[in-house]
Amino acid sequence: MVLEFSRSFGCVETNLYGMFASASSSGAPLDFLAPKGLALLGLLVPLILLYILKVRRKRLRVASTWLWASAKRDLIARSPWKKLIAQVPLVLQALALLLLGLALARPATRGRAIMGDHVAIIIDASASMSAENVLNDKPATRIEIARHVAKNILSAMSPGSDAMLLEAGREARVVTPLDRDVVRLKAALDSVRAHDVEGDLGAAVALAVDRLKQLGGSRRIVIVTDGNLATPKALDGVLLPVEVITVGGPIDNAGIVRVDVRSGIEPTLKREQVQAFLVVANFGSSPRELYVTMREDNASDVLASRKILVGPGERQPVLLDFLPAPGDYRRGLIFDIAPHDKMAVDDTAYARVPAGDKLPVVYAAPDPEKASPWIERAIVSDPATTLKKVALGELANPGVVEMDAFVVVESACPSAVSGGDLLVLAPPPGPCFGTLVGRTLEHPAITSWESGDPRMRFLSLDGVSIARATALAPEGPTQELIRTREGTVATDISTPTRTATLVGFDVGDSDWPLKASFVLFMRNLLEQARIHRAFGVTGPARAGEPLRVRLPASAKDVEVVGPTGDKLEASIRAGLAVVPETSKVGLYKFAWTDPEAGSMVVPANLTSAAESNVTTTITTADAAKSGSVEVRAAGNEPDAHNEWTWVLALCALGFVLADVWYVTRRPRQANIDAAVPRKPPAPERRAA
Amino acid sequence: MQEARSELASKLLDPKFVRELEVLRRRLEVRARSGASGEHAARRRGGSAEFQEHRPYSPGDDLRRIDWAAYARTDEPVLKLFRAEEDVIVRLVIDASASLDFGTPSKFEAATRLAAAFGYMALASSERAQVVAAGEGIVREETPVRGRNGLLALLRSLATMTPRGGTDLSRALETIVRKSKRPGMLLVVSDFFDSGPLTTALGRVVAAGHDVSLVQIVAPEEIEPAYDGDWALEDAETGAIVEVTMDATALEAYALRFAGLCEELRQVARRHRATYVRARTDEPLEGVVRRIVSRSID
Repeated sequence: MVLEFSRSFGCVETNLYGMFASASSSGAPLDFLAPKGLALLGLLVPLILLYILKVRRKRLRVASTWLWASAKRDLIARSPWKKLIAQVPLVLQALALLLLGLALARPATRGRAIMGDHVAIIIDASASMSAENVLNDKPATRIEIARHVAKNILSAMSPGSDAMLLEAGREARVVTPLDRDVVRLKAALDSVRAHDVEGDLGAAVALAVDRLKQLGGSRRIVIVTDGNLATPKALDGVLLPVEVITVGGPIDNAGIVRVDVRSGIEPTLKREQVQAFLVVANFGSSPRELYVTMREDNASDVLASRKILVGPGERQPVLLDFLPAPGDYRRGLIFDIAPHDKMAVDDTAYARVPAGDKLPVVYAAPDPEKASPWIERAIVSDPATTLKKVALGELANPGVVEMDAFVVVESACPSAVSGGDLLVLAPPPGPCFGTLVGRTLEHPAITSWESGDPRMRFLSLDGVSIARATALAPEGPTQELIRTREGTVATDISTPTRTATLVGFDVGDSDWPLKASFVLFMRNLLEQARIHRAFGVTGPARAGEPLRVRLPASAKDVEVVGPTGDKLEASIRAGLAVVPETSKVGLYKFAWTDPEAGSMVVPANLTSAAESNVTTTITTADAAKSGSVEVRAAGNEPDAHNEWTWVLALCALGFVLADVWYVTRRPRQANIDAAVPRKPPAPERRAA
Repeated sequence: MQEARSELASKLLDPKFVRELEVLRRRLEVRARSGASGEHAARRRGGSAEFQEHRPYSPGDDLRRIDWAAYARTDEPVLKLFRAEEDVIVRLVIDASASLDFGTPSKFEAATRLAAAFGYMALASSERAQVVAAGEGIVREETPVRGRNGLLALLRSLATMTPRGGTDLSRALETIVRKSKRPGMLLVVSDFFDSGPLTTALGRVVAAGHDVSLVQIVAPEEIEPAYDGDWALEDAETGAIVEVTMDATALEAYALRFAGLCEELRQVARRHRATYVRARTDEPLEGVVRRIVSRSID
């Protein structure tokens, strides 16, 4: 039992550890809110003195004590504890006094604020929780401290209450459903790890509310986090009381918050050049001198490096480049800033060498010789493209369309087209990738277009007149790209594997090619295709989100190896491989064999300024805005306590009643018929 | 004088009790003879009027005892033998230790009344009676008295005795054996709360020819203690303190010990053909006297 005296708010508080739980590691401390009540324990001394001094036995003169002495010896031989039993009133009164003294001292376990019939404990498992801090004078990650705090909370749970554990990574995960078994809950806590992801506490809170709202009794949500919330409004409007326990202190951190790799032309040599754009941010309070290096995966040679000085709170862009050899295409790139700090996950970023500087474009038309010159001219005007014109019938031939080529199909809508991004022009009536191509519209007047779509970026269709078009009926209004008074003439027909665009008219039947907006439209399409080609993915390659990778449409079996070397579960359908869980940053290796073998590396990064900025913490002021949220640092005294006064008082009363019963009880009548003795022993006589 | 006599008599022997004793004294059989002439026929032949048998004359016999009539008839000198008649001394050994001063009425009162009753029966039968007060040895020994005239002295000696001091019955009995020239009836009235070698002493008493009767006087609360709680029991004789918590097990243990004492006295009585009677202070003495006279073993 450890007594810890601490001064807090000017008064002395006594912490009694280990009464209800193990003291050293996970015990809940017991505080005395009124330590002066312990003075009552001083009465124990006079009580014991009274027992020693007082004439406890009534004196009785009997004819002879000869037989009584013999009987007493018999009793002692039969029950050696007889002497102790004789002290039962003293023991009972001392216990009653002890409990009464403790009750007057108002013992309280810490953490009543987190107590309730049903408690959901949410552990923040975002990347910032992997930052190193100190626990018990030893280095420990914030997630380890969070587990320690959560175990203390579980130890402090009142009997009968249950708790559930949730892990708040990119997605919320229920670690353990509501359970009363503290041992099982603590064991489950050990499986909670920090992931290299941007956390979303809001999803975990919503899940906890959903699980708790149908239960009766007092419900409470406890969030153990470093307070570095990627979404600060995650705790707004929570229906249940929320207590946020912050772990870890502020630390200086610098990290790569953005990475992009493109192919370019080296101006002097006129050779293809791989250019990596990084943004390095310093979230610390002092300037950092950092070495930024770039190297290929599985290679020790540094391809390029820079030494930068980043001021506190500053973000500095870094450009690294190298001249690739053909064997470098599609290989992984690793960026690193050194020296590393206490949050290592954002000190490294990953990318992939783009597959050549020129985007292959396949233009399929019924007659390649009579293909739209406007389209052809717009494509070839981009120097980073190579155009290949093919007949519609050749599209299905293997090897005609590269895996990441931009495909333009004119006057047709084939159901299966290999390659990357797709543009379908003036398809015949009928269904086309989910959009129904319908009647012909004469002189449709453009009324609006989806300017927010990357394909329609920076362009204006004002003044564009179309002589003839076909009405397009997309499955949803969000797919509409260009709307006319008569109907939609351009839609988004993207599939999970590619970005695809359907234009319902021949550009030659309009004056659009004469406008700058047509060139911008085509450049936007090519740029999108180039980006997708560069990354080989259709979605953002950020850790924590499902990894969607476009593979050859013919690929059936795919094997995915994660950054830690373990095989990951992946599904593949219509050329799109999906890895549902990517909790680690790094290079994910995809390999397929059927019918053509191939492999690919896909980078996944944290690149989250919100996670890298480990100096920011949620404060009480922030919590005040959120209403029912209470914030305190781990280890700090809670505002309220779970008092045990009444329990101790009841116990004391029980001992008093037991004492009264013992003193006033009637002795059990024994069979003392002397005429029929039970093996009477002979009297003990002196020798003659 | 007459008033003092009647006062003592009424204190120790009420008339109704005396009437009962008159009946019982005829049934009192004493197995020991003390040697002097008396009303009790002795086993030996002696000089009483009761003819027992003839035997041939041997030289040296007293010529006065020759049955001349028989000699005339048979020409054979024969002696006429008569049964000797001896008196009995009844020694009333009363435990006068402090342990007898217990109970209501006190055990000592019951003991003196019982001694008075036997003294009366002995004196009424023209026997001798002697009061002996036993404590740590013999603390008082009265002169034997004989006949009804000695009753007053006997009662006075009983009335003037007070219980005090410790007990050593074995030493008292040894002293009696040593000092008694002739055996007699030995009525030992005590509570027998004596840790001394009593059984050995009783064996010697019996071996010396005494007719022993053991009367154990006990108070009801000594048989069935009705105490409760924590007590410090003080020994009336030694002042020793024994702390006892009176619960069922303690009472049972005491009862067993008490039963053990009674059983021991019973065994001694059986072994030595003695009488053992346990008398409660709250029971009428007539019944006790009757059991003693009838030589019962309780």
